[in-house]
Parts: sequence; C-alpha cells; structure tokens
Amino acid sequence: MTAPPLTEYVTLVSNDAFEFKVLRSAAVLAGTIKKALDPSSNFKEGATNRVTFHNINGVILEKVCEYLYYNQKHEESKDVPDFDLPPELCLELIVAADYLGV
Amino acid sequence: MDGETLLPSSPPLVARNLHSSPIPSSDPPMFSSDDAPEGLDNYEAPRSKRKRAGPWWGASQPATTEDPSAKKTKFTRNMDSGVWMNSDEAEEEQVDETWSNLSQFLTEADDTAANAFAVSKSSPFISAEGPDQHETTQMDDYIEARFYNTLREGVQANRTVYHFEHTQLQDHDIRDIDQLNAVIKEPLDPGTEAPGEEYYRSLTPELYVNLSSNFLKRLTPSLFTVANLTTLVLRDNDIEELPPQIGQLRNLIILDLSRNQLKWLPYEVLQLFPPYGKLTRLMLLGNPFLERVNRRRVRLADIHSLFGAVKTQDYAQRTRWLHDLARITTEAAGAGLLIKHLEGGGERSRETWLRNPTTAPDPNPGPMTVRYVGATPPFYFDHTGEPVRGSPRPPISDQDAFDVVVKTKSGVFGRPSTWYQPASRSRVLPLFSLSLHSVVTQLLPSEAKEMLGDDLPSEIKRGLSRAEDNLSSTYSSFRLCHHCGKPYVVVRAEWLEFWSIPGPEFIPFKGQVCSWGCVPEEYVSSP
Repeated sequence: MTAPPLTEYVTLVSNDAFEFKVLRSAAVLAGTIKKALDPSSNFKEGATNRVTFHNINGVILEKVCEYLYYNQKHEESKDVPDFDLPPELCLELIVAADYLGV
Repeated sequence: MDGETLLPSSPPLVARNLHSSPIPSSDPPMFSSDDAPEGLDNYEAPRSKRKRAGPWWGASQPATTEDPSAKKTKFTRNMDSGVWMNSDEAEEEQVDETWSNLSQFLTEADDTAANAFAVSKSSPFISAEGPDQHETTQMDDYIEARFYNTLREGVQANRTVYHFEHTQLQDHDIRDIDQLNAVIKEPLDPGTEAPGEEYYRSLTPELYVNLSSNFLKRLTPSLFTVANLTTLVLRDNDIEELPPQIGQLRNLIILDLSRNQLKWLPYEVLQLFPPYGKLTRLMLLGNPFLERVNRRRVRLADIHSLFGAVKTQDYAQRTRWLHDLARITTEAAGAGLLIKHLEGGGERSRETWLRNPTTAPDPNPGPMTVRYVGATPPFYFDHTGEPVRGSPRPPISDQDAFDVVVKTKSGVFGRPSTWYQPASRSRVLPLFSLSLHSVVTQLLPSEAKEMLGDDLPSEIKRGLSRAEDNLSSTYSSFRLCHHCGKPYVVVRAEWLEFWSIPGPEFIPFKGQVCSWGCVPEEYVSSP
C-alpha cells in the first residue's frame, strides 16, 4: 500500500461541525494533531487529512488555529507580541490546549 | 467710675469656661421646665456588649470601659446629627484617624475573642477543648497587641529603632508593619544660631528593625513596602525562601539572615548591592545553603588562611597550587570557585535583570562587595513545571550532587560530561501556559480548580498548584522572569549562580525564567 500524498492543508473539524483548513506545517505544532496525521501511525486521519474533535467546539478551535499560526509566525523572533486571549474562553482553552498538547 | 483697677480686664475664668465648654451634640435637649422622664430612677443603661474592665489585651494598663468600638459608635452618632461641632473630642478622633486601621483590628480581634468566649460558654460539652482554644487566641492576641503597642508608640514618637526580639511573632502578627512609613525625621531647629553642617543632612529616616528570634517563615508583603528600612535583622527565624520583594528595599545597608532555613537567595538580592543598592553587610551564617564546597569548605578555607599566613603576594603561584589541588581532588568545582575568587571574580553582565529604570546605578560605586564566580547548568522544566527528561535535576538539599561550572583564566572547572540542550529556544509560550496565565489572572487557583471540576487532567492540576506555590512564596500567583521581567506562573528553567562575598563565601542565587528562550546565552551551551 502506498502512502497517500501529504497535502499542504489539513482540515480540523469541531464538534459543532465548523471546519478549519489549516496549513499542515502549523497544525503539526500541536502534538496530538501531529500524531493523528502522521502516516506511519496508520490512523484514518492520516489518510483523509481531516481531524475531527468531539470535545472541542468551533469558538475554541478557531482560537486554537489562530494560536497555531501565531506560534508558527513567531517561532524564530526575539520579540514576541502578546497573544490575544479572551478571558471568558480561558478555562475551555486550557482544557483544549492540554488535550491537543500545545 | 472709681478706678481702672476695679474693672476686671476680662470675664472671670470660671464663667468663660462654662460658656465655651462644648455641649455634646448627641445629648437630648433638657430644660428645667421639662418634666423628669418617667422611671428615671430605675433607669438602666442599655447593656453594652463589650463593657468590661480593662483592655482585652492585658492588665498592664489602667482599667477603663472605653474601648475602640464604643468610640466608634459615638463618632457615627455625631455624623448623623448633621452638625459638626468641632469639639475637642472630635479633633481627637481626627488625630486618631491614622490609627483607624489599628482600632479596626482591635475591634475585629475583640469580636473574635468575644465569639470564642461565647462558644465556650454556650456549649458546655466541649468545655474540655473550649477554654484551651480561648487561651491560645488570647495568647496570640497578646503577642500581636504587644507588637502593635511598641510599633504605635515608636511611630508616634518618631523613633527609628525598633526591637521585636524574642516576642514569638508569626508572619500574620507583623502585617501592619508598613505603618513604619509614617515615621519622619524631624528637622533640627537651629534657633537663632547659624545652622551647622548637621542641619543639612538628609531628612530621610534611617530605620532599624530587629525581628530576630521569632517564628517568621514567609514574612509579610507589607514589610517590603517600608522604603526607609536601612537595617533589617531577621536572625534566628524559620525563613525557608526569601520573597523576591526583598529587592524593593533599596535603602538596606545591613541585612542579617543568619540562622534561618535558607537554601538559596532570590536573584533580586543582587539588586541590593552597589552600584544599584547600598547593602554593605549581608550576614548569612547558619543557613543550609546549597554549597558545592560544603564538605571541603573547612579544608579549602584552611588553605586560604594559609595563603594569608604566608603572605604570598604571588597570585599566580597560589593559583597554580590550587590548580594542582583541583586535579587531585574530586571537588574540582570547589577549587575552581576559590581560584575564581582569588582571581577577583568575573563580570557576569547583570544588566539584563538588574537594570532598573527607577534607580540609576551609582556613578561612583563603593568597593564591589559581591562578585560572580560560577553557575550550575540550567535545569529545564516542561509546561507544568516537571523536570524535562534528560535535563539535570535541581538540587533539593546540600546532600544532592550537582555541577558548578567555573570559568577561570586557567581553564573551565567542573564542566559536566553532558550538557542538556532544550529542543526549542522559541519564545512563544505554549497555549497551555497562555491560558493558565489568563485563568490565574482572573481566578484564584483554588477557585479555578473548583470551576473546572474534579476530573481535571493532571497537567492542569499541576499547573494550578504551581500558582498556589507562587502564592505562598511570593504573595502573588505570578513570578517575574529574571530575564525579560514578565510575569509568569510556571518556572520553565532555573539555575543557581554563585557569587562570592568576602569571607570567602560562595552564596547561591537562584535565577528563574519564564521560557526556554529566556535562559541567558552563556548558559545555553557547554562552555
């Protein structure tokens, strides 16, 4: 069986059916997503390039995607601007962040 | 008119006194034409709850029924009358306003005592325990009240020397010590003479506070707001970790921390030394410091004194000798520290953290009393504060082995065989840390735990307990990064720096940073 070609973008789906198309290079900054998408781990996600989260809603997942791009953009920079985090989301975000390993 | 002498020059004294004596505004008007109120002979004053002889804190003062709470009610009634009589009493009250804190405390303490009493009275079944508790409360109150009395008397008299030795004080007893900020130095009055030199001295009071031989453990945040503290004696207490707020006491000249339980000093203490501060004497004997040279110290110190005895001025020869010693002893780092000390210490740029916009460095600093000699390799932690696999573990007691790297002119001593390098030096904090920061900004760690429920992932639990640890050691859920100065919750990397103070003694100072990227360049890779 040949490994399916790696696409440039992957799709992250929230539990309320919001879909986010994210650069693969950004998405794999999250440990859980990286493992799910890794072809060598033979998950369905690796073949379809689509990860569905049953415990993360759209609002949180949007913020997570925003963070993934923020992280990618500033990985090398010395002076990192603050990441804008709405206070009302922080409790849900900390649980999501822990789950995703970011 | 008979003569001028017969005329009184002013109204008789007695009469004037009668006229000007203030009528209390709260008294009900009584006129002689009024009928006497009924049942006046049976009149009983309304029972006052706290009416009893003597102040609650001890029998040393004359018995009086006047207590702060009674005064307070009278004050309120005056306000309600809508008329400001500016009576003598009112003025007294105004003067006392400075001490409203104190009286409030007294009232509170009084309530506590009253409650304790009520409990022991109403439930005879637990009488075996009741009186005991009551006694303890009274004892605590007594200790605290004695402290306040001394403090209050001193501040009123503008004294600059305060002795609180052997008074069994605990951290919460000294929480209002910031009232020392009210002490001023009274200017001298030269009279008609031409003012001499002493009249041009600074009017900043120089406070001496001796808190030795008490039960202090964490101190109290208000202690570090007493800006004019020049001598602070904390000898013989139970301090395990000095709060970073110590760096605020920029006027300290003498700091005595002998005989405590300190294992290291916070990095902020370095700010107290010239040229940024004024500290000239730091006494540290009798603390279980994490010293690399601990067990060999006596021997090395002997050698050092031997040098002194021989009076060899040839530093190169001394260094060679020690160098030989370092080769034969396992304690290479210990010898290295001493060599570095003899070399006169090194300049680790203290600019990053010690640069403080509020105080410019003294252009003419006195003799440098503290010099950088060496440091441990950094210890790295993950986002929950657990040591990273592969990174050396931070020492907990002075029995633990750890490496100290000393760079001297004759080579590097104590270099470990492996040097852990973190996977990334990115300064972007993980989303976990960012959200944890946000959570802790809005909630107390205990509240957050409650809101998140019981089935919390262990990482979040650990993160929140770090915030709780911060609360107990730095009075805030956050620490300040020793590199970038930003507040953070979880320490991501730390290291111990050894600085020599005359003796020679090598004192560990702990630096802690908020991200792996904040570890100073010189510690990142093996020298």
